[in-house]
Amino acid sequence: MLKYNKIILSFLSFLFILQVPYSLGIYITHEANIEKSLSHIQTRLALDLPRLSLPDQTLNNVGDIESVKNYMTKFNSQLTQMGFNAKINTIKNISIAAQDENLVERTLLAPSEPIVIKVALSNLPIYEYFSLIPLLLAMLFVYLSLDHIVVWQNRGQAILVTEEEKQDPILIINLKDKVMINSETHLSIPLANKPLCFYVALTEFCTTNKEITLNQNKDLPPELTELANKYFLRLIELGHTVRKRPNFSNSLEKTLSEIRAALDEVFTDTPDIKSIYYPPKAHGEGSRSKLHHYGLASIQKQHIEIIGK
Amino acid sequence: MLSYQAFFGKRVIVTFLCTAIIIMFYTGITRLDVMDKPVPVFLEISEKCKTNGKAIENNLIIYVPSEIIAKQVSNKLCKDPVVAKQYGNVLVNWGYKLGDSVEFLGKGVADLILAKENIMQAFMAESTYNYQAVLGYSSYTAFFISLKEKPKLNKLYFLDKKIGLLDYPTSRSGHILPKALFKDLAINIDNLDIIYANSHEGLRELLASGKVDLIASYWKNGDEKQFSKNYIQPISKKISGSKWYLKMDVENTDLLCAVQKNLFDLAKEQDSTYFNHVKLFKACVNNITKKVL
Repeated sequence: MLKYNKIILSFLSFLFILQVPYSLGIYITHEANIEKSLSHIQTRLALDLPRLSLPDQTLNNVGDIESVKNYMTKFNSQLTQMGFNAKINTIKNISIAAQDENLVERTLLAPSEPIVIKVALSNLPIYEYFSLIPLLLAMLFVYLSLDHIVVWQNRGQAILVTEEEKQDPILIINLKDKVMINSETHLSIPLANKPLCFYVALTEFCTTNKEITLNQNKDLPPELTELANKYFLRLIELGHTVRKRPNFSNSLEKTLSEIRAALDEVFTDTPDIKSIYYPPKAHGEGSRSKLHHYGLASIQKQHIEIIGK
Repeated sequence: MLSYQAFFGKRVIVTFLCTAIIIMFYTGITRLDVMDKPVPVFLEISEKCKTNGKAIENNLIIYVPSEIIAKQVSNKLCKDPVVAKQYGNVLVNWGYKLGDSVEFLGKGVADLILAKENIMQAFMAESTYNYQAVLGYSSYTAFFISLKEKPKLNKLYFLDKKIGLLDYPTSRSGHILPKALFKDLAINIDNLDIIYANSHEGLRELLASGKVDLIASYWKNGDEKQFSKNYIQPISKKISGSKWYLKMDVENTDLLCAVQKNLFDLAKEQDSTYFNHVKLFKACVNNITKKVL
């Protein structure tokens, strides 16, 4: 039920986002039309003014009210015919319709005296502001983004948490305590100095050098050795050991085994994400195969956090 | 599956959405018709009709102050065979302003014009352009008409009265003659309470509604329904009615007789007593023998 609510909500959001610019466009055109029609009406009226029998105090003219009203009626039928939304309502106090409409007042500055005219504007019917197109487009967008809507609607629920952990699981390696911690289960497993240094160096090396194949039959790349030495020095600094630096190339297989054993323990409860951190074992081709690569192929920087670096 | 994700990724959807927003805005802007057409001329002040004749360059120009009569006259004359022989078009003007008659008559533009005798005399158009009366409406008398008593023609009577007059100065019964009378009675017009109206009908409404005490106008059939014939006071002797004048540059008697005949026919079709009582000038033999009033 929640799912449908969210879909309806997103549909309404899309509809709103698309409807508003459409209505805005209609509104702008309507306003521009009003200005244009007012200007055309004024022009016509100004040209016809000498022909109208309007009241004139200075010349004792009472004016021919009927003929002026007749003129306005003709004017309005002309405007209706042309599709204008405006209607002339008053010329110099002579009105043909009720005053309570939406009236715009303009003054024609004639040489003898200013002539005040009023034009009644009818509002655009509300349905003109709507269209089927935003509705259809909103439906299309809901369809296109259905996957995102589903994800969005599950945010905060258990399913999504695991999905997110899958994307960004974090293995915390604490150099101060010499432990590996699973941030999900908070399980911490101690590790000896040599495998710890080597593993930290390996993760760092693998995040930056994806293309280099690490093979047990070859020498360690100098960068990797250097990194491992650096972390060993760091362990000495932290006071964990006073022994001299080990040779990381020696008994590499043993070191890897120790690392694997520790990782097995760390990810006991979440075996599915272990593969990111697990240096692959040689399968089938034998451990001496030249093709074997014990590097961490899919590790990313965000997958790992090192404390006490 | 990869292509599906690439196609419906968040960025792609947002890009689409932005494009869609712009498209929607554009659609909204172009959706309504743009009202950018000038309002065409719809006020008619003249009408042109074609005769059956071949003289398409020649226009018979008519000026009549009333639109209804103007159209009737042009319809009649367009069908006339004599007019068709001499003119390709009949152009009738009715205008909207008093000044128009001055232009058409004073400059001799109109071939045929309906005008008052006093205007014709003012411009000396009879001698300048040889306008000749063809047909005239019956003469009438100007009256002061009151609602409750017979108006008296003395100075004291007018001083405390509200008087309804016409606002156009060419009217004899509604403007010239009453003002001339006030002058004769040595009344300063500024001291009188004068209310102006635009037409004789407007004057009658003013009187009937009690906004004025008396009006200056003529008496016509039907007035007895609103007013009493006992409460009218003549201002003057008979005033000659409006006349149709034809410009006689040459001795075009055929045209004169044709115009006279058509105007006479038209007069007989009118309901108004003023317009259907006519007097013929410049006797055309045929018309006189056939039709007697």
